[in-house]
Amino acid sequence: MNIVACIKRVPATETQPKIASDGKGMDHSRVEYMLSFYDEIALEEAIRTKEAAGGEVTALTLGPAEATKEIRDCLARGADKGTLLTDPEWHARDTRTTARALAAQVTALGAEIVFCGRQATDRDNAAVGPMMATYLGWACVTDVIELSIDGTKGHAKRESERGIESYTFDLPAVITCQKGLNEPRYAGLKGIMAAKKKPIEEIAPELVQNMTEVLGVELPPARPAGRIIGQGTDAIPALLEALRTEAKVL
Amino acid sequence: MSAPSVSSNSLVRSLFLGKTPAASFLPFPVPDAETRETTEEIVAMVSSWAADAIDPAAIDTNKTIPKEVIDGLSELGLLGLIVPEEHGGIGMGQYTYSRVMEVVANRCASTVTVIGGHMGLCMKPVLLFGTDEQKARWLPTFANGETIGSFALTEAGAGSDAGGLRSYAELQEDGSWKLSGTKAMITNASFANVFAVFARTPDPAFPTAPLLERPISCFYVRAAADGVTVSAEENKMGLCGSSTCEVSFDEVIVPAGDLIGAQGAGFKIALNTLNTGRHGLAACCIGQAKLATGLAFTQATERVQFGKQIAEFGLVQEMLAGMRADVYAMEAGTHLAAGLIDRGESDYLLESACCKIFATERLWTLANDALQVAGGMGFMREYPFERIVRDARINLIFEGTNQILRTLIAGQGLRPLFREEQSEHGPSAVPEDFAVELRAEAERALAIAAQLGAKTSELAKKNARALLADQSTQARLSETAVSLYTAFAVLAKATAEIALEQDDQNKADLVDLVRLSARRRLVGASRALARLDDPDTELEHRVVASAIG
Repeated sequence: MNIVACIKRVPATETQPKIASDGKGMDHSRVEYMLSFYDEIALEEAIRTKEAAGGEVTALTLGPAEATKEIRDCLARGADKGTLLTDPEWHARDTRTTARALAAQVTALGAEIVFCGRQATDRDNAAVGPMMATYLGWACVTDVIELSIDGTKGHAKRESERGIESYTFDLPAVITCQKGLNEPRYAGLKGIMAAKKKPIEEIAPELVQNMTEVLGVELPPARPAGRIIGQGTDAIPALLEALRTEAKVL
Repeated sequence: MSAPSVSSNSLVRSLFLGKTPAASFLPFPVPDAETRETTEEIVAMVSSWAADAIDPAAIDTNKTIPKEVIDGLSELGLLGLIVPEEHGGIGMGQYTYSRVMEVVANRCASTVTVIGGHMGLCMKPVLLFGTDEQKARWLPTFANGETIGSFALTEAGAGSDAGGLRSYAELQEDGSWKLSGTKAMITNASFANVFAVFARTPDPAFPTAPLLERPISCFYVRAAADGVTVSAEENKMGLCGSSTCEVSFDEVIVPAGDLIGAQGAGFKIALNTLNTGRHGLAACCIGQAKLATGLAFTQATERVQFGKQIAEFGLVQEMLAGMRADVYAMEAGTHLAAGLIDRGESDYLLESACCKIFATERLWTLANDALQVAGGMGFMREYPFERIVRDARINLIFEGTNQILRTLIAGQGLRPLFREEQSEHGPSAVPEDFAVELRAEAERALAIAAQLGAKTSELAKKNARALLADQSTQARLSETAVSLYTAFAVLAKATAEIALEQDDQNKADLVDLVRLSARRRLVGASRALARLDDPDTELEHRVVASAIG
């Protein structure tokens, strides 16, 4: 099976974000990057699908030249090859532009199934996967927590606010992966060494104009400092009062 | 007849002669781009695995490392890190090995001993001295974790003095060996499948030699063999999760093919193994030192007393700054030696010993300082500070006590003076070799090195025999050399880093840190030199002599 895992390079979890000087995005200097958490699950599912059904996994991303690091990470964990849609302005693209570029490459790769994370951990839009499916005219199941593929048919369970929903669908399809679908593997030393011999194709993508424009980005307001109301059991009435009237949680 | 000539690229040996051969530490060794990239990928992967899979507090409390953790080390392929590719590993060098040891130690000091005992110690005899057939037979199973190894050298009567070793092996008619003896305080003992055992063997040239004069040989002995008994776990102060047991061998039959290296070469094998083992231990100390430093900084910025963060108080800053300066110096010394090992230098015995002494002693102080920053909370088992202190204590003892290593460094460093050997050194470093911001520290380091050379030569001329028997003087000379080796490592590493730093603020921060780091080493070197004329040594001898009668 021809399998694609769409992944994204995102700022590492411990990054303390700073606003760029133009006020329209994040200051990218001195930021460490990593593979987005849900994309690790997507990649793992892609590799498991290959292990069950045979075929090949391509790790695909739109990103800067440095994103070969995240692709290399995918290759070390078991993807067979990587495709980087090189775009120095990757962080300024809106979801539609990104989805169109990825969908075009998915078609060029001849993919039969595409796995994405349910959302990227930087912007949390949860939009690129379903948009890509729309452009491709493929089935799409989001937030998948259980999946089986049987020939050209798939069965998926997804988590929603109402409970667990079960679906069946025909391939080709886009699956966005939720925590719980699998436990991503570690690359291991052999994987890291093997990744060095796997190919990464770098392509300059054709990009459409953004349809949204960022006007400004602000950090959330600093949290007010805590307050010690009193000590011991004597302080309980004052604490209850504050929880009722100030915090309004009781 | 002209004096024999010794050619050495060892900085530490040269320091005893007042020389500082620039080529031995400048430019600071950096692995090639591919090794760097691979190392960073491995370190990132291991770090994320360790954070998920290892619970250091539970390991300490339960006094055992879960099987899943040891299996994890195998599954990740970590146990084959330094095994050549043709034998199932990935053939990385000492730099990568030390970075991996650091990152595992950063999570759990007990867990890293499994790798140290297995890969750093037990695997080394066959890796360094095994025949092709032995390598093909042993290394793949060491690399994939099917065989977990343990290094069995120490005995109750043979700790610092390996000459007291009493285990022995007799050659059988069929070529196999019958081995007997008892080994003490053996790491990995309870779960190892194989022990690297050092035992006396007959000297073919002198068959009637008494036991303690017979040469030592190295054997791989399977734990499942008849006659091998592993005793109950020792109850230890620290590294509580690691396995440490007595192991006895009662007429155990060892196949001829499991004598590793030549018959009688065991002492050399043990020394060579411990040589890189000490370097790996220094790397582990970096990991724990970074852990303690991070915890101390968090504590010092979160804890408020007298209305401000305690990090704002001068005496807390003294401890915090010392931690950062020491971590930088530990890395500089350890990575300088790793560079020497990886470029194929054969003489790094003294550098490795310097790294071990410096890193273990700085970690001990640093861990205590971190606990001090945490205050009374640091004393509570609920927090990690006291565990780091307990775990750090053994480092000053194992793989050669720091006292023994000091006499080793001095003994080796003084050799050319006693034997009237002519040593050859490349041109000594000059202040201009270092970053301009570090010129004052470089000049001072070079001046102290010259003083060490002059003092050593003066002492050797005055009374060579007395110097050879005087451990106190040897220790002070060594201490000066350890501090100077580390100071030059700091200055060389910083020179390279300053040249690469583009950002002015980062550069200024770096210069502050390395100046502090270098100056602390230089204070240490000057103090040790000054103590050579210390009249207390004589008093110390007399005070002990009168007490023991």
